[in-house]
Amino acid sequence: MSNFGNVFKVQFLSGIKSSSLGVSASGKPKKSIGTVVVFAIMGLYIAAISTFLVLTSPADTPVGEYLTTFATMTTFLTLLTAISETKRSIFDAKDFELLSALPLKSITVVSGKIMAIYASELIYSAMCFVVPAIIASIIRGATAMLWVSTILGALLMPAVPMAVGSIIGFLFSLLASKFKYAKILETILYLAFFVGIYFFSYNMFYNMGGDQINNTLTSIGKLYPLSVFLSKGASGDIVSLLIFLGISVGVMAICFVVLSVFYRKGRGLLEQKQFSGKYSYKSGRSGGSVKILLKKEMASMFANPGVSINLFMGLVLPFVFPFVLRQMGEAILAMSVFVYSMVSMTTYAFSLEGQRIGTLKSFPVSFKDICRAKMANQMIFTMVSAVLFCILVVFNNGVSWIKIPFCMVAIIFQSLFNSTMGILRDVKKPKLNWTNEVQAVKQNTGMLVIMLFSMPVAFGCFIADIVLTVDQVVMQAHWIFKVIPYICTAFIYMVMWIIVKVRLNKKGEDYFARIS
Amino acid sequence: MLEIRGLSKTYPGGKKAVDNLSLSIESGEICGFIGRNGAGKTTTIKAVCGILDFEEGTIEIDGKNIKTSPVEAKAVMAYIPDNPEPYGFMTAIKYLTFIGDIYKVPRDVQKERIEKYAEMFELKAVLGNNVSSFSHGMKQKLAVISALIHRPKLLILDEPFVGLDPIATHQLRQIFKEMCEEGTAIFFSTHVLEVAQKICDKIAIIKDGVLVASGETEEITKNESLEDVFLELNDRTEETENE
Repeated sequence: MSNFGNVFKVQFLSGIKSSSLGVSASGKPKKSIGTVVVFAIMGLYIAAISTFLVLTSPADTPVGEYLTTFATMTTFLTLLTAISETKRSIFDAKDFELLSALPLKSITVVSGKIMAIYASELIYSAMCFVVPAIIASIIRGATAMLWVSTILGALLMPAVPMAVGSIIGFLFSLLASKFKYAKILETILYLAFFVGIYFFSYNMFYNMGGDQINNTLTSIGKLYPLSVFLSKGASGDIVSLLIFLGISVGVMAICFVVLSVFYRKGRGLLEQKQFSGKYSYKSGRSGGSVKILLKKEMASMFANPGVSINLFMGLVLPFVFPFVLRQMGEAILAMSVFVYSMVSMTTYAFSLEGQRIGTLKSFPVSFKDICRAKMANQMIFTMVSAVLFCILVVFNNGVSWIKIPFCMVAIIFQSLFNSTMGILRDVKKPKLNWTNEVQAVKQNTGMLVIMLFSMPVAFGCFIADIVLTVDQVVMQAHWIFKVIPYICTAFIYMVMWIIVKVRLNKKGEDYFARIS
Repeated sequence: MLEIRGLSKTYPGGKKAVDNLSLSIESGEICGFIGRNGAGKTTTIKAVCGILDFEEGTIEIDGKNIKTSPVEAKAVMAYIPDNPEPYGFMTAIKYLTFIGDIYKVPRDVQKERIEKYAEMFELKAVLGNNVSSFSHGMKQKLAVISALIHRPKLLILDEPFVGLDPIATHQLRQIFKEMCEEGTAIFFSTHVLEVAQKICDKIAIIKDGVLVASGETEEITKNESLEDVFLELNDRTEETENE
């Protein structure tokens, strides 16, 4: 096997080991049924959106245009992964010194590592392309070019966002490393980046005139021109398809070359300048165990900007779900509940301890206090992010302010459920062996299990809000109709939270004792 | 101070890492725990610290059972792992304050002890630096300081001398002596047999999870070097196994 093949294989396997595709710490094969069910549900969501798009768009819409929406989804998912993961995988990994000492070219290491991440993204990409293509084929009729474009799109659409995201992630780290509070600055840069995407996509979709789905699809093409080439290819234009292929491969190759140049300079390039010598002792009372541990948890989150950027997902909603913004106005708020159903920082709270788990277990603090600190950390980060999103949708999108407190209550209970479930899942099957933190976060299947329970509730809230928004007569009859979906959602999450909490109280400590 | 009775630990897959191990260490005693790689030293230490669950036996620290009263038992001990990984996102001073707070040491006392030990281990100049920039030896020293902040009644160390420079090794031995004089019990694993023979009041030798010898150092060595005794014990048990 070539050097590239070896690096790729090792990186890819280290990523999936002890995820659902690998083995558990006990050496027993893991059951992958939960993961399969979650992917099936994701497929159903995509199928529902595809059917909605195909049925509501004009009959003369070229079949390839449906792929553009899903090209955007793939682009967003890959961009998020690339920004948070590739820089860490290349420069911050524990195997950096080992690989540097081996007789390997920089470009072999860089391309092997990036392609390993790329390969794990292909499953999402395949879902985003193949499911809509099946729906479009059933309703509008299948063509050979539609399927050629679908397969090429699934394989190559993540290339450009992977390349761009990798370079953005690297450049943000490089810039932030020159300053004292590098990690906080890096988080702020990501926040600014996502707010920028929010306003850019908002203006693109909201001010384009007309209200037909077709305009939305056209605008996606303007926002992400590469999808237009793919769309034309699906409609039979082979030259467009070749241009798509050339750009995807070319941009990826440029990314390999650029990052390998920096890789040669060593990880010192990204090391934060030491502002040594100055320190002070804290005085006063230290507070209880939960407060002390919470401070540590928060410091850990700020030290991992790649982790905390997951919380800005709400800000890219208009980018990912433009038709929601265009067609269903106020329901975009319900989308925030949907987005936060995919956030559970506690899912990797124990995994992130890695080899330090022994030290944590040796502290004279109870398991309950450790859990409380980890959950409080998630609540704080989620609420800050949710409040920011609510302010944006009230002032920028004109969503009724009366919905906000009810939406926040729904997110609070959702977050309580997600974080408790995350703790239960992670304490049972932590991923303690990783080469960089993002592996512990991204390749932790616990999140998929939480999504399995949390997403249907959030999706129900979203659909209910759409129904009420569309029916203006009911909506204007009494203000309570505007908030009913959020009250129901909050109640359902509260019940789910209580059930999981009882389970955690019963089993959690035993699971924690078994971690070694 | 430390009472282990009939400790047994079997890993998933059936490997018995520790088999019916009993050991007792009194206040002010230093006990060296010796054995080959994979003999069960770290498993025993982790069980004592409440890190690793075990099926049989009891472990009491200062009269508190590690299984039934874990928080109270852990409050009086300190543990330094074989490969300490202090939180890299904290500065050294923040890490030490964090540990001091966890053990409820008043802030003014923390300051006094951090100053003393940081000076001793030559870390004072880098207390404001991020731990991620520390070498292995510096992390080891930091872990040692963090274990001393709350003046534990029982200090447990897994291979404490690995990665320490000769001066730091000497200082750690001095600290061991001082702590023992103040009544602290010390239980540590090591492969450095000369050091163990010099500083330990007690020696425990483990082989394949079974304690093959334990007692006062003089009683075990009988004017021989600990290295000879250790090799002889290993050979003897291997011969018995072959028979």
